[in-house]
Amino acid sequence: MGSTQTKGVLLDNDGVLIASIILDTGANIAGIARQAYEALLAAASCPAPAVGAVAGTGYGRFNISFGDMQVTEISCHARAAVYLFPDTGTVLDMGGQDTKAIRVGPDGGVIDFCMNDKCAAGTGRFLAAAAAVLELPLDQLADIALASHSPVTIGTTCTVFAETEIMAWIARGRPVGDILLGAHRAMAGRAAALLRRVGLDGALTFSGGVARNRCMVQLIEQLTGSAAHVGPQAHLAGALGAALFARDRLTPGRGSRATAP
Amino acid sequence: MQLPATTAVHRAKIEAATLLEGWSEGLDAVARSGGRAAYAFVMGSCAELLASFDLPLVFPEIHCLRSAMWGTAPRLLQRAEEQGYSPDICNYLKADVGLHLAGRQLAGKQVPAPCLAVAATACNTYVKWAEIWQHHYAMPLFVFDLPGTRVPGSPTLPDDPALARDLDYVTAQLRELIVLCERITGRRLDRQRLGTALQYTNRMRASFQRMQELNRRQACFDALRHGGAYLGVYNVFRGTEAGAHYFERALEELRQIQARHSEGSEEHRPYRLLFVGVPCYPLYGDFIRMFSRHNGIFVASTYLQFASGGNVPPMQHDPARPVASLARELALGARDAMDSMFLAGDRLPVLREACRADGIVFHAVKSCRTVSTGLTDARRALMARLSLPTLLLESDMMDRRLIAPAQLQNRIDAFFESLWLRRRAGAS
Repeated sequence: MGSTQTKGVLLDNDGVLIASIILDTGANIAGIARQAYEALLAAASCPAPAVGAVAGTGYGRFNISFGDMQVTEISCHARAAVYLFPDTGTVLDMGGQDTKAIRVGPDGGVIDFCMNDKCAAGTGRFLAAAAAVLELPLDQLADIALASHSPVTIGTTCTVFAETEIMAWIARGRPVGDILLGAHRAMAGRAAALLRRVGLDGALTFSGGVARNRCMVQLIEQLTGSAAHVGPQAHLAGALGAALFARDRLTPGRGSRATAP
Repeated sequence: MQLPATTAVHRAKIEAATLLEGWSEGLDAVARSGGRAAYAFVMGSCAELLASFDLPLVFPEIHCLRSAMWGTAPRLLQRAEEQGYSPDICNYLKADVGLHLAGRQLAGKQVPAPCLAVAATACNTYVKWAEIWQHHYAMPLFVFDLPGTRVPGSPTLPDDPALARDLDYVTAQLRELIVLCERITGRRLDRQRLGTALQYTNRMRASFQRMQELNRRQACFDALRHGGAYLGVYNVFRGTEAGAHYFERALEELRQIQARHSEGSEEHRPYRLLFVGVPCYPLYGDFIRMFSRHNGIFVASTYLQFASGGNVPPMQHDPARPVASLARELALGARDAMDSMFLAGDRLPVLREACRADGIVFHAVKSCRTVSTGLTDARRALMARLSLPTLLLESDMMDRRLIAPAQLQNRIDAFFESLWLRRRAGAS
């Protein structure tokens, strides 16, 4: 349960993804959790009693009243990354409101982590703010940015003030693509700083909603000098990790299957 | 995860609250009668010397952290910021400035104005802080120049030739302070009284160190929850009979707790943690609960060392040579407090081994550069040497605005998930 969206995944006993769901979180956190759960089961035609365990993650995880366990998204992203890409040594998760860099062990255990603190600059919220100012849909930002070769500099560390800075560039007549590429570079720079702080070790896996942004992936790879794994369901990684923890619970003492079948 | 069993009620924590309340009431009486007090910091306080001149003692740092715990700090900070003090300045200092600007009222009691302030170069902010009082009250400020470690990366050794020169230097300064105290109070130094005070400090120190050793072997107090109470008494009642008796009773209490309780099986025993830094006073109880709800207990804390003036084990005062002995403690105590931060990368593995810590929590505070600047380097050095879960948190010891409890809790929860997985892997 993230600040922006609530995601759910349903796994079978072998860890195969059966169904997934994404809803906007809104204000009724407990309600949306139940709604997402019911929609997930309906999508898989799975009766509720057939579900062995439910794990909740994200800042809203304690509002999932029907959950069996709560796990931080830090642990969940680590676990999911190694499950999907076993050579993962470092995870970058860029979500709607926070960005985290996680160094992981071969079993998906967290070795170290650091997150953006104090503000949303460098998170999906930053891009959303840029899109709002430029009156563009989010799914077009990457293509427009990648078409540019002369990015502006977005210097502010504040998402709110970045809007002002973007408007200033517009007033100076700079193309939208240049402004967007500049915004992407600002975000990527902050993310790369988190990665260097936690230490790039082994392969890099990029997860979270922002991982679906091609421009961001490219910039992260350039800044880190490291190719990044990006799975087709990168935006569901947190939910996937939680589901894996729930699956563990069904077989106590089970050495969890660390990697995807 | 299981919730922890209720921690045994500590009589000493309750007694500490009573003693400190009595201290506040005493200061209130001094203030209302128009009297003044000596202001001192916990590092380099010379409490025994000042008290031997019957100077009431004010510890501004303790007042400030209590205001943070009580929730009254925000208005003090705001008062200072309205005066023009920047948000980037030490929040202990700002809260104290706010206190003075607002008439020196704290929790309904009056704090006396200073007649003398004693600071030390152990912290540069101490000096600037004390200068504010000097401007405000036109009273003398005495600053000890305490030499730092001579050989980079190494602690001072007893046979270090530079040590003798440093001790002479600090002793000479101490004699100057004595002359100043004699001038202010109109009385001569009573060496016998000072010697007696140092004997009490010896007893306090011996008991306090023994308490910490016991805790490293078997958890019987939380270094944050109960350590704060112990530190308050240690600093305020340093060199007093009441302080000596307090710590002797506190030690006996811990022995009884250890005799009654065991840590439980490996699977269910608490997670033994080591704390590095200054506690989060604005959240205090909530902050501690963020760990205790996961069955975590701090069995040791570097804070207990440097916030008790650099508790140099196994140093004991020589009451027959009180001035030389006090000078030695000043020099080595402050140096050790600084060394504990500078050499943390070397010392923490030793401390971790001694207390069998499952993990280490580093708490950086925005307000205090002295404590926080080298913290991440110490953590990196430690992580390079040990395969041990560590957690870096960043908040503040005074300003609630700089603290995001949900973010802290999330990071702490993730840390305990690592500890739990590690324990499970060790068991299988």
